[in-house]
Amino acid sequence: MVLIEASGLGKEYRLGGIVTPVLDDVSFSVEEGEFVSIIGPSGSGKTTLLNLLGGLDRDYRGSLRIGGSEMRSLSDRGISVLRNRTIGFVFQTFHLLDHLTCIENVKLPLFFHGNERPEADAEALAALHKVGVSDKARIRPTYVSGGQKQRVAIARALMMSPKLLLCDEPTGNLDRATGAQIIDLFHALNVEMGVTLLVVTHDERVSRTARRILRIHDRKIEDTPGPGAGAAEAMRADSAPPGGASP
Amino acid sequence: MRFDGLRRIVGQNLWRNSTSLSISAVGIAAGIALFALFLALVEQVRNVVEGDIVPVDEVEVVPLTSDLQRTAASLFGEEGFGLTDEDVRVISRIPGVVEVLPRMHLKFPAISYGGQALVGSEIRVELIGDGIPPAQVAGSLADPILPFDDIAAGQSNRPCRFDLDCPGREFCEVRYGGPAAPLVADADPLSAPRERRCARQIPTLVSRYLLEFYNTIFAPGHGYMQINEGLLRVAERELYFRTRLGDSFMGRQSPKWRQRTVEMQIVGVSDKAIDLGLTFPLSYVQAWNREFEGPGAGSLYSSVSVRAGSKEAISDVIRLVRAAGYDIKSRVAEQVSSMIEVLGIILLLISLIVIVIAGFNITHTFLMLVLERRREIGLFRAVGATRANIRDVFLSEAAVVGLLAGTLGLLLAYVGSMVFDTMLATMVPRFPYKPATFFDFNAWIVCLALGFSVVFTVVGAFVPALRAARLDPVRALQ
Repeated sequence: MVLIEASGLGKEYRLGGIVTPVLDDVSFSVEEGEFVSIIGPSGSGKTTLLNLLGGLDRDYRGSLRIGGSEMRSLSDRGISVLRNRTIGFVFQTFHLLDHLTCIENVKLPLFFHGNERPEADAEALAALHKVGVSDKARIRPTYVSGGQKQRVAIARALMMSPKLLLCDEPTGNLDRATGAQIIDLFHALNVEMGVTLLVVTHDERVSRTARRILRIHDRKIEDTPGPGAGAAEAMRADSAPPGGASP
Repeated sequence: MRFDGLRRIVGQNLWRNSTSLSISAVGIAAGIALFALFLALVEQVRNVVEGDIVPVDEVEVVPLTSDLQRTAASLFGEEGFGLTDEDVRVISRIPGVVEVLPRMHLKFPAISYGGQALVGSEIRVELIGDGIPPAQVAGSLADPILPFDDIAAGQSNRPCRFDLDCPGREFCEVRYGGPAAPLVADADPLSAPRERRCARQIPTLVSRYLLEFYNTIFAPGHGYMQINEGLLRVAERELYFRTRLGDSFMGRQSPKWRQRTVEMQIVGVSDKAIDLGLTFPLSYVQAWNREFEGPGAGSLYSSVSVRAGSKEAISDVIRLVRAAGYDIKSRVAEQVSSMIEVLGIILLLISLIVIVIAGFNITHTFLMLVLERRREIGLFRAVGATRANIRDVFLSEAAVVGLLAGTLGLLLAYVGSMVFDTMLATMVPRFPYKPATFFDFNAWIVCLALGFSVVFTVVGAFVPALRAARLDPVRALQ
């Protein structure tokens, strides 16, 4: 099932009368459950594309549909609900709130939508457990390592069980070993939970894990299968229920 | 946005920004303190002035001076210038009128003297007095030594030469007109024989205003003892004095042979009594006016006190009274009331200026907070906050700050009022109607102060909140 559908997508920045085109006539689609790596040189428009896909930036040309909804046509509330329920964000700089504990950070999306749930604490704890930092639940982010911070950020992104996880350089601020652990975590989320992952990265290891690579070059997108396609497919086949179809 | 989510976010934000928010809240608190203090002061002044000194739901109706018919009648007729019983009936039927009280002033001079027993020195004053129907006040007097009623038939009327010849609370009164004549004869006193008979002391009412005036101006100046209502009741037997009817320190006097002395007894304090003077049962004043000014002088009322149900209803009553062809005696209450309104508005404007300046400070503080929380706002938007959610977070913080600042302001105002009261009690000498407290903090002042505090703080934070809501999430997250 198609989750993302971009057609003739274009984006340009205007600053002081100077127009800088970033994306031009980009078309691609992403199926549910895919693990896509977006790569390209600095300033090529990777983060811009991610912002468009996350509905943070809705000033674009062409068409962009997430889950069938044209991003531009959604109301502020509509796009907010989409970001809350369907999309999870993981940032390079984690964006954790230092005045909240890790579990409160994870529960943050709950504050804005949804009903009062007595089991919210248990769900947040389960999300932290899933990413391996449930022991840090009552600690403030200031007192945990970079890798643990990113895990907490991933738990927050997973809190509302989104279909799509948009990650912007998730290993960019981590050392090599910790970065590898995060990549493994992404892989597991994709394979075991079927979360669709779009990861903007410079990290070759991420690219190697992805089943598909969108390479941005000269404002265009080059869509190529990733090296991890076979491995991921095999892992998916292993974990899929009997008779279950996977994209 | 869920309420518990909003509550948690707002609570945490207030906690971590408590220093900057407290500093800006002090301005609002100071403004609110002034606001509440001024309101309470004006309220108390209004209570005292409009409640005790000049009731604002009451006016005194007098005949229209431009009423040619009435003027002609007074010039060429016998009755003089005044209001008749028919006028009283007309006025009492005017919609909104709750009570009418006809008053007849003493139309001749008199001097009262006495007080030796009570204040230790004899006081002599020119008497100003009037008469009112006793039925309209008798019920409000608590157990008077003498009933405040019309010329009593129950008095002994026995012949006498001196007061000592008379029983109880009677005195030996000079009467004109012979043994069969009533208390005061209409006949010419020159030709009428004089006789002396025992009569009851004349029941007299004083006003609270007179007591205040005596206690704060007269008594301290002359070194006399102060008198309050309690003392009046205790010392009622000493509250008799004499009045020489027809005599005067100044101006016109009746001939000496016509002057005579009566004994009066203060029987109570009443709001219906004349402010500065003495009030007697109407029949006495009617009889004296006839005796000293001619037969017609005892039939017309000088004025009619008209009470409306409320302060609000009085303006309609005044309009209708004027439309019915009567005039209103100078509206001191209205003028005082207007002065209080103006004073109140000036004081409130001062406090509002302080609050508005404090509101700008709130704006500045919240603009700083928006800058400080840019990334956080971006994150909130990324995890699903709408623009309205972001705005609501800031406005809710402002509302809580406003509420706390308002509470602090009210506390400051209350403490301030106690300090002022203490200072005024010890440093300012007593004056008429000086109250125990100069401030009346009632429920509506508290609600209004808190409401103003919240509104001004929220208004102050509105522009920053809108700016936060409109923040581009992409830029905010950079």
